[in-house]
Amino acid sequence: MARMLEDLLSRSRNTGWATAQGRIDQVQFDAKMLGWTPVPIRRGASAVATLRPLDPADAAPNSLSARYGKGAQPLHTDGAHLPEPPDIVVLTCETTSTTPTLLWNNVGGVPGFVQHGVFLIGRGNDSFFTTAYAQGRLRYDPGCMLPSDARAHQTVQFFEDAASAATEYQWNEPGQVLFIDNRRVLHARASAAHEPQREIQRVSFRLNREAS
Amino acid sequence: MTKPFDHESLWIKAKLFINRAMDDGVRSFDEQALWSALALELLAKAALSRVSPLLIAEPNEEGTNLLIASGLIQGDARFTSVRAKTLMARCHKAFKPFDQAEAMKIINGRNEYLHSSGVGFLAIPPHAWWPRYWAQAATLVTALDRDIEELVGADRERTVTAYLEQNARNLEQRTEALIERAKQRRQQWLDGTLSAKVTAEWKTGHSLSAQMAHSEATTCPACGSIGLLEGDEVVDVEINYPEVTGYGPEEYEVSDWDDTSVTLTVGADYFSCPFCQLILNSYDLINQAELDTQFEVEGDVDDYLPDEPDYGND
Repeated sequence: MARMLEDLLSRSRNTGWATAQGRIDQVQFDAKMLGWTPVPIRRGASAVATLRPLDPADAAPNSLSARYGKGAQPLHTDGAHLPEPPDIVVLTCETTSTTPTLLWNNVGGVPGFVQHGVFLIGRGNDSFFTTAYAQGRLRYDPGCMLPSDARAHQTVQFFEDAASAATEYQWNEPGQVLFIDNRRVLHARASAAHEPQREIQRVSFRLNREAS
Repeated sequence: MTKPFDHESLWIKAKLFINRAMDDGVRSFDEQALWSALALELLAKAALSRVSPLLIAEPNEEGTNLLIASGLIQGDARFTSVRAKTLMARCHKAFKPFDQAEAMKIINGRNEYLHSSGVGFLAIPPHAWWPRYWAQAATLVTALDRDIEELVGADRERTVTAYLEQNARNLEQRTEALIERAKQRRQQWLDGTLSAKVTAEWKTGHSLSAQMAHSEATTCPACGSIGLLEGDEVVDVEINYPEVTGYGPEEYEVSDWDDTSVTLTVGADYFSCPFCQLILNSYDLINQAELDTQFEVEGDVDDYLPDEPDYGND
């Protein structure tokens, strides 16, 4: 079966994202049928997370909320701090939300400095260097990637500027599913200062080889 | 294999150090040279580690580094690699024409800069230092089956190429490096000692070709197999008309004109060999490797025969 995720993957080919109606348990079931691997974004945590707007004091120390609170987040890919980030991120909302999710894809390509600027990802003993674009996939999160040369600083500016060209995805019907190709698309939550009760479910996957 | 011995991670760090050396700004030559010298050591480690991480792990009595590098054990042991002198000696033997003596001048400059009160890099003036530096670094980049653009980016490639062009022996060295690496790769392929990653990157004849307009099979200068010489530019066209020997009407039958042929002389711009993966992607490299710089192919008669004016009985 596995119709919804297969259909979303297929429909995301051009823009890098696609939408449907569904629930998080249906997403998990489909993914299991397809052999996709759930990826916890935090070590030891569940692959399914409920995201709520938090003040910096209430947020986990190393998180975007700790830095940006309920305000607008910067564009990022999920799991950028992981040696192997997830390929797909799926967001669902059981109710509705007046806070849009911003989406930006690299259909127009990325400049050379994005391919060659090097960032440090600090993970204690597991820290490593990386570029924001390699082998056809983006990896970017200013929350965990420290620019280490001039080109990396240019890259930070590039993605800050890209926010103005992002598409706003609106959660205006209950049960919406937003499928994001985390290899090609950066996303961000717009400011949720006016909507502290907002709840989004998130689950991330690595595709099996055949599906990628 | 643990991260410290991973050649991809070493490559990325070499990129970082080269970026720091080449970033526009306020860095003086001594600081640029320091970052570059550190990058050279990382490139050497990456090139050796790509063949086998064991080539850069420092052996000790317990063999902890070797065991970690070989992936037999996981551990938090402090990463220890072989000394720079050992790295350069190994690269000298493994990656011709990498010059150990030239590389050690760079490494010695780094050591003096870091460990003594000396300035280290000023024994050779910058205008002479950079061409010598890039001659060695470029050989290691080739040993990694990568190119300069991948290391420094397209916008800085010209800077590096300009330094390389100053090096009178660069072309000779680069050709030798490519051919020696291809021979080595072919032997590893035959022996089954290529790493899984390099094996996965192995390309078949069709995908190795540059898909240029014209091609000719020719002997590979590295492995002696049949490779493909390619080019787009037609430098000469020769139209071969059928010989007419008589005067009777039978000599002018249409079938005789079908024997007209066109020979094109094409400038060679690209050579590839699917058996050893050698690629020579410029006229200079093809010429240096003593391959034909031009080759002949048959052209389409319709493209080259002059159009005759329409018949009119007026």
